[in-house]
Amino acid sequence: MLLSVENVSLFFGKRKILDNVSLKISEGEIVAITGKSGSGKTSLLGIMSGLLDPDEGVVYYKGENIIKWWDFKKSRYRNKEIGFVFQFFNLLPDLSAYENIVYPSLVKFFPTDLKGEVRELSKILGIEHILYQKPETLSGGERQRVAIARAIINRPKILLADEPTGNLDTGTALEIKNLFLRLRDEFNMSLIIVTHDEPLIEIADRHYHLEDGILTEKIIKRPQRENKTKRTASVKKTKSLDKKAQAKAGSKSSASRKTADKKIK
Amino acid sequence: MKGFLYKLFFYFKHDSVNILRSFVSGLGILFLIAFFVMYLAVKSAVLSYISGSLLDNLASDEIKILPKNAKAVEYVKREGSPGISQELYSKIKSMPDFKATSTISRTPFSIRLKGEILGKSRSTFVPVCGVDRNLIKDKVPRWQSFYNKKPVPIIVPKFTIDLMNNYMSSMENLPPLSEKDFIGFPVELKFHAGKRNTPFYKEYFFDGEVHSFTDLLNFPGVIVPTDFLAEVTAQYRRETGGQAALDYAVVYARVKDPDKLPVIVSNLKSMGLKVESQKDIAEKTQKTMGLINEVFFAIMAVFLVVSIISIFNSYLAIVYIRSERFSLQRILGFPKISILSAFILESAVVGAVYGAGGYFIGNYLLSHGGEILSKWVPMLSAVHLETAGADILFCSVLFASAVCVIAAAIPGIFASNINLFKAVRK
Ligand SMILES: Nc1ncnc2c1ncn2[C@@H]1O[C@H](COP(=O)(O)OP(=O)(O)OP(=O)(O)O)[C@@H](O)[C@H]1O
Ligand SMILES: [Mg+2]
Repeated sequence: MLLSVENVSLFFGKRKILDNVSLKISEGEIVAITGKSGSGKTSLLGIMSGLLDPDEGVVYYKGENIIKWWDFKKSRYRNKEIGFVFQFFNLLPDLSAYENIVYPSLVKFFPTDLKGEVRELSKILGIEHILYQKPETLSGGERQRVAIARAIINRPKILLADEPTGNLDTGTALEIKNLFLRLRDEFNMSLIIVTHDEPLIEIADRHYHLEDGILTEKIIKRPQRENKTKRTASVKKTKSLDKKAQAKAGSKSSASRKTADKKIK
Repeated sequence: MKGFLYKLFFYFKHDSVNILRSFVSGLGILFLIAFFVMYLAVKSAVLSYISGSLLDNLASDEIKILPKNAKAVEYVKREGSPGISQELYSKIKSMPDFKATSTISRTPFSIRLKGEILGKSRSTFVPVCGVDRNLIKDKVPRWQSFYNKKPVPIIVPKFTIDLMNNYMSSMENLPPLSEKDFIGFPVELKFHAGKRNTPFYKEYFFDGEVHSFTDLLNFPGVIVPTDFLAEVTAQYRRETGGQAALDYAVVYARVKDPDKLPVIVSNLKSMGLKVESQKDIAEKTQKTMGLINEVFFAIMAVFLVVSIISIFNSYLAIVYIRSERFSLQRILGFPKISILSAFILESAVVGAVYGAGGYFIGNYLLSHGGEILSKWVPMLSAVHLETAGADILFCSVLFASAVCVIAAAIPGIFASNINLFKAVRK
């Protein structure tokens, strides 16, 4: 188990936002969370990323209770182990796309040079041509991809995405979806996605719904069962390969998923 | 390394405006340090001037006896100026409590000094007072040879060297002479004794020579041996039958038993005299220093408060302008320490730069301001303003850095404790 939220409750004043919520995610898993506006989805992500302390319950990351960590360790956790994609992108307006992407790496006193890393990532994300533009000159989809690049620059284990397609048209949303699949397949990342988008819910292994503070699992309407077995197989295979081969294998498997998705439609 | 350079570049690219802002806001520190450096110089100059002053430096068993109603030592006898008469002095001298006494004496005659420079002779009235040899013991070079002899030894204030050099260079463009060159310089003393146009009027001429130069006398005139003045006065009385008497501006007395000081002082007071002991002088000095301290500290406190408020303000503005960035930084995994230390590091650098700058400005003003001052007021050349050394530079840098860090720390703490969820919800 990578991350596990156990019996978490959260109050804002007297209002109970989360009521005894439990949630687990393993490596390479995708979890979708839905819920009405104001139901506490962002707050739940905040708790999982150590930004917000719950009033009750615990959060374990690799068996350690993150709530008890000191600021320094929590910061390290946020910097290295998780990536956060925000509802509203949250890029810094006075930094270029490139600078926004490398920003998390500047935490270190002697940061590693990430030029090659950024190039590789931006190729995957299709944003090589806009790296030196300011966020205000970028389209919504481009901004979201820059934000994703920033979230995964340190190769986190978990990506937390808060309505990543909420502000995007269906075409761009589809691109983001495919990107998430590649992230899982190529980097074996776990994803927790807060969304209302059907296509994004479909790629999830599990789907939870948050209502009145209570989190319940829902059955995903999925026409093709074999997708899942296929994916697990591909993950097992890629694990044994080196990075480049891994990338290749991943792109293959995501390509196969693309066709599968088309079939669904 | 490449990554580190990039980080530096990144920082300067995006924070240069803030750095500039911090520099502008911290300008007061520059003046604060400059002032501090000057304060140290003035303080030590005044202290050394007071402690080095010949007539104010009393030993613990020494007292200074002044005539009644004397506000300060009056070296020159004027109509009605208080003095200790010869009879009174004899009385003091015969008191059994004293080991030794010495005096600063005043002649009732006006005196002209005549000297010949570059073939031109000049003659002017100059204030003259008499001093006993043991009063200048070890305080003036070759003090042993200062006694009543022919030619009469004359001690001259140091600033006259500058006056003479100035005169000579303006007349003949001669290079300046040193103190040594002037020693032995012949001078003629002309006494105007008694009232003019009366049978009691008489003039006396004596040869004199420059014995030495000193700054120890707080007095723009010359010093001759008391015995010499006494001799001239006696000669005048003998020759004209006129009335003339030497009197004393100050009597210094060395007490046999310092424990008896209170009794001795009250005895002297009952004789209508004013007494100052070392304690009084120390108090006086302290009063002067206290005044200097108060003025400087008031000015520095104003600078300090203004600078701290202005630095604090400017960093607080940065926190509000950048609150979104700090919040995002925290979410992206920057620890509190790293945000706080950015504030501290930056303010420390600003402080260090201003500390060093203020030190150099202060020293510059001291070396150049002192020169100008002594040109305007030659007597002040005695007050030597010493520039500060490397230890003060170190202290200035440390102090200025500390002030800036203290002013920036609270905004830094605000920034590092900024609401983490602010950026998430925006
Ligand atoms: N600091 C706070 N103080 C009081 N109430 C808060 C605070 N932060 C959030 N809330 C409330 O908690 C509830 C949950 O907020 P949250 O942002 O988690 O909702 P959400 O499910 O992400 O909504 P949306 O879909 O609109 O983004 C909201 O009703 C909000 O008003
Ligand atoms: Mg939300």
